[in-house]
Amino acid sequence: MAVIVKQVKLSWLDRTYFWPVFKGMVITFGHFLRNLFTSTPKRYTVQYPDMKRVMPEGYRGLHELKRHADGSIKCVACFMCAEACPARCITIRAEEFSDLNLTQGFEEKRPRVFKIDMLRCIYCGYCEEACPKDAIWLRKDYELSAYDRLSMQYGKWDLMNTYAEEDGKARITTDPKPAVCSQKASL
Amino acid sequence: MPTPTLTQTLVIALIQAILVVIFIFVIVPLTIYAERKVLGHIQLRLGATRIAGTHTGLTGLVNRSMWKLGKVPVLAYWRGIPMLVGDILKMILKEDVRPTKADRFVFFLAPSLSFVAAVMAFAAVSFVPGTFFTFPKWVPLVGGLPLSGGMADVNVGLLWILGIASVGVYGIVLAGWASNSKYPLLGSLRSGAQIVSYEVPLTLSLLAPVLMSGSLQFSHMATTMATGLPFWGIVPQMLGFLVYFTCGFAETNRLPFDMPEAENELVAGFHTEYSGMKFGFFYLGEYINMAVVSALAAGFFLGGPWLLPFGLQGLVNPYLPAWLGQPCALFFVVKIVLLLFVFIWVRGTIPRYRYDQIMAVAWKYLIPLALVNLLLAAMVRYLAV
Repeated sequence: MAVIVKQVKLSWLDRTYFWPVFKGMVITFGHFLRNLFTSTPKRYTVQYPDMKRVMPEGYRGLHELKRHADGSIKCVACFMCAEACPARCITIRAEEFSDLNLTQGFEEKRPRVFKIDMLRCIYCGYCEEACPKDAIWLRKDYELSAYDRLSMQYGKWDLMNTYAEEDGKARITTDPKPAVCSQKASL
Repeated sequence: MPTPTLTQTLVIALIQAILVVIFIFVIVPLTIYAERKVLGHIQLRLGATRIAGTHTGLTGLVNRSMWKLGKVPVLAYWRGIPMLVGDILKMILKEDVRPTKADRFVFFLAPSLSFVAAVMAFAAVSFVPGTFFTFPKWVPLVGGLPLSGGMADVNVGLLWILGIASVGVYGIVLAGWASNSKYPLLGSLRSGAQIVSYEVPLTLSLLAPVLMSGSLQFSHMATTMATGLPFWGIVPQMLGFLVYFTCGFAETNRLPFDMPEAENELVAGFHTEYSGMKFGFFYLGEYINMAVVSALAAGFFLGGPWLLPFGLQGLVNPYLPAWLGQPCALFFVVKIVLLLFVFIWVRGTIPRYRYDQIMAVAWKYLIPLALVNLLLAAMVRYLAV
């Protein structure tokens, strides 16, 4: 298919070549001054290690596994996220969890292993959509890098502690013992 | 004023030479730094903000230990100013590779030739007409003697500058030939053709100041063009200035005309095979050439070392401090720096021309324009001066 290229008729001023060059010089000088007198936070360039880009709402970054007020994991190991995951990057191994307490809402399972392979993950957010307990969230941390592949396997505790400092929570490395006695007896 | 003896003359000449070399070696790294920053800001970037290896290498060692002490390592963050040293260190420390089949002697000769030619052009540039400063009495050997504003302000100064500037072409052509490689050869051939073509309009446009001042001596030309006319030389010589400056870009291989380098076509042009300090000499030579072209433009068209156009100076002289009316080397340097900024500014604006366009511009437009300008200068000379 032939494409007809439109021939632009240049005015005599444009054909002198001097005038367009002059206009271009004015534009670039405008850029120069504008960039020079813009304060650092308003510039396009983010001075990365010192300044960090604030990600917009709805950005899907590193996952967080949510926890209850007493520190126990919200996840009930239902495998919905692992099923929904198109990249098949979630590995869950469930365990029985019979010492029920109030905050846990009488669940019987929890993940013993909850592993996300960050090298495979495509950050689509389907796991977040699929989760019936709202236990997995994709949040705004985008600085995912490591020197080896093993470091990119994020386990249960990594995922639970990712945003701990940011949210003012304590870092935990063990499942908390139930504080309140089981309600099963009273029922 | 006592007549200097031979020893005193030699010592003064040596001091002058050292001053000029210091000037060059101060202004060139500053230009390179300014180029990074100005070009960055023109393209809405920031340019260099820190030197490489803030976490690794030698600087990284310093920075990491500073972090350990709980101090922010500002040194590496001073807006990339350490780049001034970093650039030079990089050049010196890099491995100097020489291709096996290269002509060893010529390969060595070419960068030194282009560097030396660029520096030597500064010999005839006079920063201030007459005396730059007089040595105080207490200075041994040369106390009380004047130091003139130019190293060798000879009465064929312009011829010297133009002649030496064309020697610089040999540097490029020999570099391309000695590398024994295709791309350098092509680049140097293109460069040779380009520079030889642009020397014609360049010389023709510089003929106009010669015509108007009736001299070839740099200081005399600068004086006449600044104070002998009602205004600076740039007013009657606008056309000449534009032609001269355009050709200056071509002569120094700067961006709209950077045929010899043309990265996307020729790898890196004539200095493809060069590395380390040999490449550094080409690099330095280019920037010194820019300074030479700017110095000539400042001297002949922008009133040289005078701050104000002469007409204005005469008009408001009683109300101004006396030093404003006097020639001062600082004004000259400021004008050179402004023109160097224009070099960078143009580089940030205009993309490279096609090769045939470059040749067409030189032969079909600039040479006739320079001739018309010469005619204008002759008219000004006949009517006004």
